[in-house]
Amino acid sequence: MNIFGKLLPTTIDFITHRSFSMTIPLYDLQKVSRVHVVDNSKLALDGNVYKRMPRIIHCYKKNNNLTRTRLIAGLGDKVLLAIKGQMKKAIIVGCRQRIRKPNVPQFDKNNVVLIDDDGNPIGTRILAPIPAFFRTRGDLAKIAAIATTFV
Amino acid sequence: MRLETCYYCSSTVWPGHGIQFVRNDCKIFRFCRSRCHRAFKKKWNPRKSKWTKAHRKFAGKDLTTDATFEFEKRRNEPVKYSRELWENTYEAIEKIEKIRTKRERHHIMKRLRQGTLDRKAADLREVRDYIHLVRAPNATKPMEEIEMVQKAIAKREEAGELLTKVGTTVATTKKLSALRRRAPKIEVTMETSDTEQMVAEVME
Repeated sequence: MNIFGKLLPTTIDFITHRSFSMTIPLYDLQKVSRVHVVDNSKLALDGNVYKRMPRIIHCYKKNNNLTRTRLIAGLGDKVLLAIKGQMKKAIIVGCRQRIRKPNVPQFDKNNVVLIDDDGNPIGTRILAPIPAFFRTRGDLAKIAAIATTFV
Repeated sequence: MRLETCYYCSSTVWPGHGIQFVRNDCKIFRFCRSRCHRAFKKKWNPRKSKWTKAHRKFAGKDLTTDATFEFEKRRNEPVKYSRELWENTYEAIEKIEKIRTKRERHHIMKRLRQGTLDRKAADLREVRDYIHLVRAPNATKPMEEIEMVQKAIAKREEAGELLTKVGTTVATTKKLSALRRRAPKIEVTMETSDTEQMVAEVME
């Protein structure tokens, strides 16, 4: 929905001004977003080389408002991935989208770390730098434990 | 809290400013403002953008190698806290800052001084080549005046060389000012030639 709603020209008068508005490029992570797994688990290594890139199928977000939540995942959110024909849960560890919070960097790729249903990471090491606030958040402590570098 | 330097222009990034970009090979790029961030995204080489510090150092316009720069290098070994160390470092920072800025300014002045000498030489060449537009070829003793000017400038160049060799200490500035006082004042007076005088008389 988000992708297609961007460029809807209402009326194009070539004589007067063009009247469609464009949003800035949004690198939101939602369904069908392709993602880069940064684990050292076997599934991650195979999944990155598979014929199809690992994709997000579902974002786990609490329904806080009465209206439907926009299922967009950000740093630290849990998502469901389709890797190598399987479904696996994962946590987003790096975002290309610029997050306007202090000391939160933007990353090169949309990095993701595979977890099982209990929330324990499957791999033993994370090969990319991780934002520093993972250390302070309790539910992300397990991922921070196996991380090598923090940013 | 730490003051970082911008990857592109090397200015300080104050807290609350700029963008931090992390590459998947764990290299962190910090930018002070969107100008630098956009230049980086366009894959511009900072050494080629004239306004960056990287270019100035690369082109030799700013001081590059000096002992004072060694103090600012980031060391990856943690140091045990001691209050004395902090106090001494604080005092040292002020001193080093003074010395470093002095040396940087001297480096730039040395560069610019060469420019003034070049301009003087260019002016002299211009006088020599185009003096015929100002004064008639039959005029008396034009070359003597030019020789006088050249002598005076040669003397000043000597003083300039002395300065660049020794460096700006109090002694050499005193010497320089003494030399300046002793150097002859150049007064170029345009004497009217005979024909010009005759013309003036006729007009009267």
